[in-house]
Amino acid sequence: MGLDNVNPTVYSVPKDAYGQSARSRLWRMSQNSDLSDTETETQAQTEAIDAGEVFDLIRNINDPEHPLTLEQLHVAQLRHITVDHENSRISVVFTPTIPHCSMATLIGLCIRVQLLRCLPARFKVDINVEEGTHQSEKSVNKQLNDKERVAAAMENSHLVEVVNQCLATTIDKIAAY
Amino acid sequence: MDSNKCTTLSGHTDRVWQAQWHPTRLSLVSCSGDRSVRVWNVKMESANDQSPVASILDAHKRTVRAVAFSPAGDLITSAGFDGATAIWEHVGDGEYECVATLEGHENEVKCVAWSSSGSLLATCSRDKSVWVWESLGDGDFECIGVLHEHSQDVKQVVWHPSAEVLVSASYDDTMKIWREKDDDWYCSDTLTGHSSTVWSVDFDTSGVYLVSVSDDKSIKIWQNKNINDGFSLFSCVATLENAHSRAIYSVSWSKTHGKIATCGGDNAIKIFSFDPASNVITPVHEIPAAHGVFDVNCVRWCPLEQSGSLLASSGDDSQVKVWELQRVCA
Repeated sequence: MGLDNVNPTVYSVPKDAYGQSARSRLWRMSQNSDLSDTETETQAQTEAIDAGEVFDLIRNINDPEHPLTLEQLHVAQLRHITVDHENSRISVVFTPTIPHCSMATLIGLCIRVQLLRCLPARFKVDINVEEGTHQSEKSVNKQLNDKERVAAAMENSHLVEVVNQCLATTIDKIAAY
Repeated sequence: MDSNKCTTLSGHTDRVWQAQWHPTRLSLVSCSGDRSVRVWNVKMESANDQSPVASILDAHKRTVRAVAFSPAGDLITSAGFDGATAIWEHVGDGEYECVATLEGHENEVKCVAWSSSGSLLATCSRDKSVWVWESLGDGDFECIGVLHEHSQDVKQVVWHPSAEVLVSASYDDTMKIWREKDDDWYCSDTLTGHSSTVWSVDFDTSGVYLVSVSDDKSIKIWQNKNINDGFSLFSCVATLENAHSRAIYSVSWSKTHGKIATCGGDNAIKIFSFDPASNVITPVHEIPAAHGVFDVNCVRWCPLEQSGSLLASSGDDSQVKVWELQRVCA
């Protein structure tokens, strides 16, 4: 199968790529299972999470087609993440490199899985394609925000393997820092 | 101060997708992402954290998305993401035995529902189809209709409370009404109006009204004045926009007191009344954070006349809860 975008634009990445925030969260992840995250939070007051911390979690996700990160391809950008701390809502908008990118749903799924695994359960996360950047924008968005479709996808072992490959480098890079 | 009396049923180890009442006893059956089906006896007077009286572990190879007791209460059906629908019979001592497996859907089965007489079963799937099965007794089922008119994922199937009329709700934003004529099942009506996935529907006790809830956060009421006439169509008579602040996943219309319960991705359970004289949907009660910070996936009113104020809910926190809402239902 040929690549959708054989020659994507690569953007430079600032040196201090992996912040304190992501490291502390990963440390917490290793201490607590998904469900006990919430209990930990109520005990030690709810911790504020900002857009920078969310960006730290997804910036190094590997593109499924290129040995490049979502940050390097400007698929994920800090300015496209909003956090409503009070209502525990997070919105992530991502930008496919080309409007007919067949990988858009997979990229969105990687972002969703990464945030499901790393963020406290109280956060409700909406993931959408940047308006006007994909020809199937509506259907990609609908699928990514349907919890039943996401749950079924996560029981598909082939898909889980592909997602884990895209996420593998993220964990390595943050952990090695 | 939380005035909602509630008992918690703990045992599942993953998101609970559904909990359904037994037709004649104070029992529930639930299903989960942990692939199990569990049966509970509900005792409102006892302390929290009641455990199941029966567990069918590994009921399916993947998530069990939906369950239902048969109208006679002797069988349990379960629908799984493994594409199968299973029929379970109680063989005593908290043990259930699989007496039939209905195969045919290409992928995830999302819902299973018995007709009121118990002679028909309907299933629906991500493969966009709705299947109607006839129960021939002794665990024999025959597929009598494969209905292909939805253009997407079918989320739920619900039978009319008395007539052999089926409604399906879909990811294609519509609902379809299915009827049988001369041994052929056909779509007699398509209900459009929601702007996103229709997650759940339910009839009122008369079967004249239908309520639907959607990813578009609205509740709609539909009316069909002559359900027994195959040419009679449903029309939308009421809409409540922004009934919840996120997707609404489930709706239950009480057959004993007429209140409508909904729940969704905003963690809340809400109770509404519908006035057919003015066609107005009015909020009457809210349980915020019903399952803590987690989504509430399903609500079901108890069908028993003397216990109609009990509402079962299930959530992403792996728990089933039963709420006593006597004050609300009076």
